[in-house]
Amino acid sequence: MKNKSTIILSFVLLLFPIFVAAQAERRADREMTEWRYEVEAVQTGAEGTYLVKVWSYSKKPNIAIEQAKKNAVHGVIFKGVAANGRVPGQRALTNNANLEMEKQDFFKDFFADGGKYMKFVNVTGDGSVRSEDRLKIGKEYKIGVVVSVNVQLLRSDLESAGIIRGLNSGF
Amino acid sequence: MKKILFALSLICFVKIAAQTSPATRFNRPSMTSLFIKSNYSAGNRVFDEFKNTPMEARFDQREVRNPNLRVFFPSEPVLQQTGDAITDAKLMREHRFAMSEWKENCKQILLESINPVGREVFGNMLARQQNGNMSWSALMSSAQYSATDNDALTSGASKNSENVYQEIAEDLLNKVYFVVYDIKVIKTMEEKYDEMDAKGRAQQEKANAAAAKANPPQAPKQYVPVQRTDEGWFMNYEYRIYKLVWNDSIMAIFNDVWLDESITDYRERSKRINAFENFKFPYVLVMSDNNDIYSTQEKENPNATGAAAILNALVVRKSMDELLAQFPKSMQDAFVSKGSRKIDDFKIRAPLFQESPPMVKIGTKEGIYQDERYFAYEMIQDDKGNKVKKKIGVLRVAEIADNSIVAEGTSPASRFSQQGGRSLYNGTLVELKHDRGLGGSLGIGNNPLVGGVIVGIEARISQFFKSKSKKSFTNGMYLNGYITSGKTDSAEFKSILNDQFPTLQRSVSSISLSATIAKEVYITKRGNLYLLPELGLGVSTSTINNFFETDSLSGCDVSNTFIYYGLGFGYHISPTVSVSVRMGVNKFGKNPSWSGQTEQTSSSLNSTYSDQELQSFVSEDHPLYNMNRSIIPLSISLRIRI
Repeated sequence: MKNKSTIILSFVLLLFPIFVAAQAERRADREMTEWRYEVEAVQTGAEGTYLVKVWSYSKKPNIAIEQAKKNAVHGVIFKGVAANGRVPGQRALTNNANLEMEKQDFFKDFFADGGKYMKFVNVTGDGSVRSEDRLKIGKEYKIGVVVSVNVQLLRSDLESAGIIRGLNSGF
Repeated sequence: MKKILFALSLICFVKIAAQTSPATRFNRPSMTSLFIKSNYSAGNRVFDEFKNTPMEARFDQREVRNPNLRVFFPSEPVLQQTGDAITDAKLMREHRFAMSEWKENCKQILLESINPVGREVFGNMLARQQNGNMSWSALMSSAQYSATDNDALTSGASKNSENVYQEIAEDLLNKVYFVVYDIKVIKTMEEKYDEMDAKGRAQQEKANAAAAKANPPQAPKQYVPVQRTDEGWFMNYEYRIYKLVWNDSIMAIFNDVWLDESITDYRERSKRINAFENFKFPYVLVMSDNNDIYSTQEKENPNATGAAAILNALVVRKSMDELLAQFPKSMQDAFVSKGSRKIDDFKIRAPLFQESPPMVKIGTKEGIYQDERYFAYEMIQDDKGNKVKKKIGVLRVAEIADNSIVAEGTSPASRFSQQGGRSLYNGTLVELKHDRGLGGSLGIGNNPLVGGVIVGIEARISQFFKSKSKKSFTNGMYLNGYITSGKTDSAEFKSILNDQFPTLQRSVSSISLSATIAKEVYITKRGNLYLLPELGLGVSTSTINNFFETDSLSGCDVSNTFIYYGLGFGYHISPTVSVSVRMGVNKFGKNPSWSGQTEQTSSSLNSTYSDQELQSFVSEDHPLYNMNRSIIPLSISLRIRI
């Protein structure tokens, strides 16, 4: 009996680190997927804005519109906007690949739920997602939401906060 | 070399087919009605009446100066027969060849006659003026009317707001349709009856001649003429739907035809005007059909009495001309209904705007009608990147919104009710899927008098009205007809006769016919479960076989009428198949009719046994004894709808 308990305990102790490692990896995956999106141009936006479609991924068909807005602003700052047919693409506001890590504290607050990012983005549409913009791929959904990002305001805000350098600040 | 070319073209085809993704939006196609001048004056009257028949709202109706095509087809080749088998076979081959040539000729002649009309429509779409100048303005207006709220809002947020509408306008040029009607036969019902009688008489004479030659010869039968109950019109017509082909290569040629005020050179202008006037658009035949239709009413009976007389007085009678004027609506409905099933551009589609209750931004602008069926699809991207749609539910129109305005972002949405399937969500593709409104059911019931196998047919009432009003109480209502037949073994019906008679050899069989009205009431969000209140009338006959073993009476029939009222409970297994359990009351009449027959004489025994006497043989415990009491039967059925 004692032997049996010892075997079970040893087994649990042996498996525990593996389980913890797997959990950590999964959490890391989840964190990584938070910024899993694609941004493409829809039309040339009105003065000072980008009109983009942001494709987000979600296990649920009803992705939060807020997440799409967050992704769009993130994309405009760090990734840039892919061209789409006749509509040209746009470069990212920064070409510093490490900016997000360097200014971690700023961006944590900036992209927090209800954070400052909301000032620069609006959903363009009547609230419905176009049928062709909600695709089921495997077990998850890829959902496209058209948003308008006020790039002019976003750029000046990031410049005044010292996050990115101004266009006229020279090289 | 041929094989390589074939393989290459096959690869290209597969690649192109693989890259196509299902259409997810509806842009209003343009439609022009054209008529091949009829040989019948009544036919031309029908065509004239089209002026008073508005086109289905989902189409952008395009009028032309002269919709009547003067087409002169060559006469159809006639098959000659000589009686000689070899010569006839040769003639047959020649005739087949001549027929295909003739059909091709007719097709070309028809296309030649459509071509000027097609040019006129295209010119109208591009606001072509007398001086030959064209502009996008008219087409942009159509595009704006066809645009959705999302288009309008995207356009508003764009630097070049016209870009969004321009894409729609280009798509509209690829949705130019023509429906060509050709009346083959039109005659009054009297002429139709004459024709039916002539045909019937000829067949009867043929049958009589054969009967006379039979061994032994049979007596000739008299032909019974058809009953001439109706007056009005019969018509046989054909319609063909053509699509004007607009693609990159046509567009490239058309660039040399385009003329606007920026072109001022006189020679260039007249060259382009001439080019337009001689421009030949290609057309493709997308659908054709041949239909027989009637526009009739029951003949007035001056000798009618009672209810028939009251009905006669209430019904507003129509003149022959008014009956003729009903044809265009039926003709138009026929092509719209069939076209909606066959032609992708005709299918209304939009994303689901709201999940609960389901709301979709379509309405009067698209000409939707109450209870119209739509399928909900989920868009799936497979491993190869192909987009396919998968059906996930069924919806029906419940409340129609008036959205006949240019969308600006706040268009009203129509309310739908879901009838089975999975949970729907914002953006689910909702697409028109016309049904015939017919269905059938097969089930079994435990009613001791009208039980057994139940075969039913059903028709959705809303299909007859196609109401476009905001709300309609006929939604979900069905007209049902049931035939029920059952046989119960003697063991179960031991109690059927009083103890004084041996009963073990007896069995009861019954047959009943009933008609009911039922309404589906959906009780869950997804509409998988429904209640089915039902009300109807019926007649049943129960036959007790081997009524007396020792007597000459072999059977006894008990007939009665009944009222049925009950409640069903159904579950949708799939959009077209559901299973339902019905529980209801059969309230029988107070005076069932009893009758019996003897083996020897086959005459009614009512003279020997009275109704009461026959009834007295039956145990008081049995429902047959006292049929006017209510019986609560239970039945389970499988229902299929198309």
